[in-house]
This record gives sequence, C-alpha cells and structure tokens, in this order.
Amino acid sequence: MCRATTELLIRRFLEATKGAAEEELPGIGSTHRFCLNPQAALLFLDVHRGMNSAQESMLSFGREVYHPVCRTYGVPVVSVRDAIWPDEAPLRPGLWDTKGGAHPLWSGHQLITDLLAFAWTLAGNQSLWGITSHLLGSHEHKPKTTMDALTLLLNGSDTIQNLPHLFQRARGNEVNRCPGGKHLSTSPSASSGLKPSRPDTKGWQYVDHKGKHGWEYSLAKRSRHDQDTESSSVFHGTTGWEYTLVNPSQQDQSLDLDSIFHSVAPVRRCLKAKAKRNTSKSRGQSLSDNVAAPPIPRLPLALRNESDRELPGIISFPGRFNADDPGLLVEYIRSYANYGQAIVFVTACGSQSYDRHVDTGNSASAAVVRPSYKELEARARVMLRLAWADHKYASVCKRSKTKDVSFKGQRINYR
Amino acid sequence: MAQQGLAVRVVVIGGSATHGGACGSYALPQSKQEQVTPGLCSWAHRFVEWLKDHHRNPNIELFNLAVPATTSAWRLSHFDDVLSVRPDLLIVDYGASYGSNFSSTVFLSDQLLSCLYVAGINDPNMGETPEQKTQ
Repeated sequence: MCRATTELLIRRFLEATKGAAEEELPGIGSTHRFCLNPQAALLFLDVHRGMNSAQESMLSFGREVYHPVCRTYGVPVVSVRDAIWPDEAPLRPGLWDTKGGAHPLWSGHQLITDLLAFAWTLAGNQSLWGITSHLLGSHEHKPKTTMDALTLLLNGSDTIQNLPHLFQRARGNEVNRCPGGKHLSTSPSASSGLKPSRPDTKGWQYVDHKGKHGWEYSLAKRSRHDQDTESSSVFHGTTGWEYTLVNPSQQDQSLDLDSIFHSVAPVRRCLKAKAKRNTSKSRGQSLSDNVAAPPIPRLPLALRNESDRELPGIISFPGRFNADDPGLLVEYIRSYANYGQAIVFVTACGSQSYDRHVDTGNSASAAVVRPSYKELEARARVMLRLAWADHKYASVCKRSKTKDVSFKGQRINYR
Repeated sequence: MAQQGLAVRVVVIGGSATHGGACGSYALPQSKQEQVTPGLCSWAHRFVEWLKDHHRNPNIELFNLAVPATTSAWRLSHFDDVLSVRPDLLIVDYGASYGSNFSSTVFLSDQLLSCLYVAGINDPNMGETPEQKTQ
C-alpha cells in the first residue's frame, strides 16, 4: 500500500544524514542498516485511529505499512495504537474525535505524549538511543550502533508488557475499562498481581456479586482501631506502580474535607435524607455507612514530593458498588506542570450512556484544572463525591443537579 | 548533571493531527472548553517540552512541519523542507492522515508518486493529495 512512500522517506532521511552503514541487506543495497546515528534519529509514530475504524484496512495501516518497513530499516516505531487499542477495543470517550475525523483530543494528545516520553525514557535507560546522550550534552557521547533491542521492544507484540500500568490498564488485562458500561468494577481480581498488601477481612475485601466482582470497602466492618492503623490499603501493581485507596476517615493534613462537604451541602443533605429513609441492616451495616462514607480514592501516589512535576496517570476506581449499582471510573489524565493543565473524568461505569461520547453523555463529568497537585487532588475528590451522589441518588431526590460548586472561593463547573 | 545541553532540533512531520488539530478540544461542551493555543497543545509541543525538562536542556527546539490534509507522498516531494532544518530527531506521523483520508485513490496516488520519485521525477506540485487538489 503506502509502504513505498514510507520506505522512500526513510531512505531519503538516511541518505541525507549519512549514518554509518553497518551492513547491507538484500534488496536494500547500501542503505544503512541502522538509522540512529550520531547525526540524527528517526522515529515513526503509529497513532492511527480513525472514525471509520471498523474498516479492517484502516486498522491494519500501521501494522502493514509502518511496522514492516521500519523493522526492515531498524527504525523504531512507537505504536500508540498498540498501546491503547491492541484489540480494536472501543474508543475511550474523550480521547479521540469520533465525530469529525481522526484527531486526538486534548487528552488523546496527552496520551501520545506520555507514550513517547515513556519510550524515550526506556530507550535512554537502556543506553540504546545515542541521541539521548546528545541531548544531555555529554562530551562522552558514544552513539550506539544497534537498535535491535529497542526496535523489538517498541515494535513487537511484547511492547505492552513493558509499558507503564497506564497502558496495561488500557489493554484491559488486569483492570476492566468498563466498556459500554457492561462491566461493573475496574478492580483487579483477587488472584491477580494487584492485591492488597495487607489483605484483611475488614475494610477492603474482594467480593463477587452475581458475577460482578471487585474490591469493596465497608466502613462498618472496621473498628476505630483499624481505621487509625490501617487507613489505606495499598495495591501493588505488577509493574511496581502503587494504587492507594484511602478510607474517608483518613484526613490529609493539607486537605480540608469538611470544607469540601460544606460546599456541597445540598448533596450531603440528599445523602442524609436517603440514608434515613432506607436504613438497612441486611448485611450487618447501616445504609448510612454505605451512603455517607463511600470510599474516596486517593490518587496514586506517583507524586512523592510536591516538587515532582509529573502528575499521575489515569486511574480507574471502582468506588462502592454492589450487584445493582455500578462503580465509578475516575480518569485522571496527567499533564505536566509546564503545560499547566490536567483533566479529570468521573464516570459511572454502569451507566447506559457510558459508551457515548463524553461531550454528549450525561454520565461523565470532567474538569479542566490548573493544579497545584494538592488542589487537583482535592477537586478530584469533590468531583467524585458529586458524581457518586448524583449517580446514586439523583433519581431519588428528584432535584436539579448541581451545576456549580464552590471550592475555597473558586467556582467549579460541574456538568 | 544539569549541563547546558547542545542545541537539538526536533522535527515532526505528519498531517492535521500532528499539527495539533482538535487538540484544544476536551470533548466537553464548547462552553466548558478552555481556550488553548492551537499547536501548543499538540503532542509534539508537549513532547518537546517534556524533553527539555527531562534532559534539563532548554536548547531543544521544535519544528512542527506537519501540514493538514497531507500524506507521506506529499511530504516526500517536499522533503527538502525537512532536511533544510537539519533535524537531530525526525518523528514521522502520517498514520492519522491516512486514517481520515483513507481511500484507494490516495493509495494509488501514493504509489504513483513513489514511482515518479524513484524515476527521478520530483515535482513538488505533484505531491498534492486529491483532497488538496479539489480545494
């Protein structure tokens, strides 16, 4: 198909940059085997995902065009498509423009950037990419002449295994993506590599309700002592990333939760009203416990220090759920301090409109914020509270949904 | 560690998505969107900003030479523009362009242009995609 132009682009680049030929390949003649030379580097980005993605020919563009040609020439391909949609899964809302064409949206561009940054870091860490030392300004620049390992790493089917958990999640191996709202929990299974570091029968526990499984938190089952000593359960990812779920009793010193709830007082009143009408002891705990204290997700503690610049990646959080009520999905698209923005999606996974585009659906709320990290975290908590309350009780309370809330003097658009 | 890095030129080529088309959209209602300068929100700009920060080298410069509604065939006939910048890193991203303009006509055009290029016929004006010619 388009291999010819792709190959010609590569050859033209190689000819111009005059990389040192390592060997000759049949059919290629004296074209340089390794294009990453001291003079320049070449990288192909496979971001193919169009609105008419159902066409097989479109889906296979990167694999049929970029990958084989680049593999021949030893040019690395960073495949966003393989990282995000390895199995032609449905588009995630809010990432790509599914109406007007094939353009990634704001968060889609962020994902591409993240993947590029990761691939770049990976290459640098393995000392395979000579240009990284060039960028560092090292006077001891010793360009590497082989790219095979990197090419395989970035180009092969095993790529996903080496990607951060952000992309492993997108692949759906360990964490459900709630596609179409059919899946309830985004939790890992009990036997997977993601499990509580301190499994206990109190607080967080793995439950299976009629095939809908996930981690559930029960405040009523925790003693005061437990709350004090085990305020969180840490999920250790197989890739070394950690996910921390914090129960509502844990007070962050820099986060005034009371002020947040004060700002969403109508929602809180609604919660109380509902709880009072339907107190249940069926499972040995009052509904008020369930209602008033849904678990608040603490965003992954990727930022160990406030001076760190990168925000955490997307997180998926099951929220409280049971067989009848789905959990919540929190997508926290990271950004960089120098770009100054981040976006947070809070979605009810089980909503029928989940698979609709975010801009038309009512099941998701989003905020674009210019954070300090602490502020962003606080806002995410507010939004999760709102989304949770709205999802669970809006139909009961029969009141208009909250449009705006104030947080520490600032107005936050909601919906 | 924080050395004054060498000047590095990063060039990206591609179509409209690479150019930053729609990157200012948050998939939110228009009223909820914040204004973002086109191009500054593209992955290319963000990646270079990340490179600057990651390598503590402010001398990394981005040349976003992506042109909307073009394919690799068009760029092939305009490749001198790329080489004139003398890139240290060239990132090619034409997949999305083919995604939005995918048609047998485009592919045939690409094949034809490739053949012409190989034959030594390198007329920049012949690199236009069918979509461009109709504009």
